[in-house]
Amino acid sequence: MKNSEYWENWDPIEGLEAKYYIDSINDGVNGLEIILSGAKDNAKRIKFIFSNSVESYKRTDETYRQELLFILQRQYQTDIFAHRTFFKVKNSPYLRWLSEESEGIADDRPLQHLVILAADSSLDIISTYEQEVYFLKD
Amino acid sequence: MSEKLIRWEPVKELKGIYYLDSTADTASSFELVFSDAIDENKQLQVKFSSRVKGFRSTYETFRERSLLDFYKKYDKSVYQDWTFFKLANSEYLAWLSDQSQGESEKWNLTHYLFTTMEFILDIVHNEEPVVQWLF
Repeated sequence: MKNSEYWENWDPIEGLEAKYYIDSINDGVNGLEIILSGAKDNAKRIKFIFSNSVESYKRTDETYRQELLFILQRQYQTDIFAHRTFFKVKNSPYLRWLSEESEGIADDRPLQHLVILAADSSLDIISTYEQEVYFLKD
Repeated sequence: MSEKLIRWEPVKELKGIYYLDSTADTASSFELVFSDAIDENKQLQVKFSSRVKGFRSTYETFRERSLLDFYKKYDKSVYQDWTFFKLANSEYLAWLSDQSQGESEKWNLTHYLFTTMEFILDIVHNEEPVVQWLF
C-alpha cells in the first residue's frame, strides 16, 4: 500500500524495559531533554538529549491515540505495541504533514520520525540526527 | 465548520512577537516561558496546572503553509505582530477526535496557538492556563 506507514523497532540503547512512562519533556537552552521511567520499576530512568533541538515534536495523551493502536494491531496482527516503547516510522504521515506544511522545505532534509510509545502518552519526534541517550543513576 | 483564528490577550501590555525561552512538560503541569523580542528581561509565563492533553512544537520554517493561510484569510488586525491565539474547529482538534475515536469531543478542548519568533506551538487542553509576567 503506497501510503501505508511502516513501523520498525528502534533500540536507542541496550537493556531497555518493555514499557516506560514519560516523566518530563524540557525544551530550552540545553536542547530537547526527555526523561522516562520504567513502567514496572520507576527507579529505572532514561534520559534522551537532542542538544540542537529538533524540527518538530508532539506529545499526545494515550487516550487520544486509541485509533493508532487499533490500526497498528490490525496491520501487524500483534500486540507488540503493548510490550515495546521505541519505534521508527517509515512513510510517516507526520513527515508528510511536515512536507505539506513547509511547502516542500522538509523534503530536502534527512528527517526521521522517532516514536516513544509510552504507557501514558506517545511522543513523536522529527529529527535529522541521533540523540544522546543514557540511563540515569540515583 | 471551518477553522477560525482568534487573537488571544490573556494579560495586558502584550506587544509584538515573543521568543519561546522554555517548555516544561511534566506529569502534573505544563509551563512555557516567553521573552520580549526587544527586552529579553520582560518574560511571560503561561502555566497549565495539569498535564495538557496534547502539544506540538515545530520550527516556524516548517509551518509556512499555515502562516500563509492566515495572511490570506484574516485581516492584519487579527494576526499581525501577535503571538497568542486560539484556533477554533482546528485540524489538530479534528485529528485528536479521530485518534481518540471521538472521545475528545466530550472534553471541551481548546486549541491554543502560539506563533513565536522561532517556533510554532500548538497546545490542546480543557483548562485555561494562568498567565503572568515574571519581572
